[in-house]
Amino acid sequence: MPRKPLSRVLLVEDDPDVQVVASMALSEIGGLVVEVCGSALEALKTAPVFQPDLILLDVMMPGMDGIAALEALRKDPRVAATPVVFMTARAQSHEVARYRELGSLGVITKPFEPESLADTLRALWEGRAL
Amino acid sequence: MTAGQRERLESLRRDYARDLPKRIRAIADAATSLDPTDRERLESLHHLVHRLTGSAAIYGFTGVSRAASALEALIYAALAGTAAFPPERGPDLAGLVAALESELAAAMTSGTKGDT
Repeated sequence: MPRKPLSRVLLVEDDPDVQVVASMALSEIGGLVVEVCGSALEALKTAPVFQPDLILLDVMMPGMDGIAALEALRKDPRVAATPVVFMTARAQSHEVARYRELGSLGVITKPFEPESLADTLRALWEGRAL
Repeated sequence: MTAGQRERLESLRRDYARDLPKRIRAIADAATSLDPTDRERLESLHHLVHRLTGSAAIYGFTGVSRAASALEALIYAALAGTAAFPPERGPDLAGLVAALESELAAAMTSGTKGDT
């Protein structure tokens, strides 16, 4: 059964410079409803309340990183099934394969193009090949 | 993308460009005063450089991002390999910081956008 259209995205990114441009790309340009968290711990609190369709999760963050955050999200029944897309500058093929093994829907590499970030996310959401 | 959205992106890029020298100065200061035995400060420096690598590329400062990436790789290797920054890599660190400052100067000379 096809998924409903992507609407709500939780963006988890520790760098304010990336937050602001990614948030703008997803909401103003992409028309999505976006909530931004600056850390994995904040995301673990926010996700069950915000109930996103999808979580866009930075891999390398201080403290709890994206991988640990995904593992923690999977243990919370309220968001265990929420798809996660990783965002990373380190996207060698073995790393991308590992992220998929961990259960992510896909990987977006930095730098991303603000103009097309939402479209890329929608393609992953709809299971279209990129 | 509408003209208004394009202008907003440009405005974000201009803001980023204005703050870029301050960020790179912070990295240079942290690298210069790095205590090679202090892993915590090394991790802090890595964090600063990692952020710069990602954000500079997103905002169109590809030369700055490349230089930051080389510096990040050196610090990452030091973090992965030892509990402290190897003293023999000090000149490499200084050279990569100088390269980063040089890329900043090039970017500032050529404006806020483009392949600098």
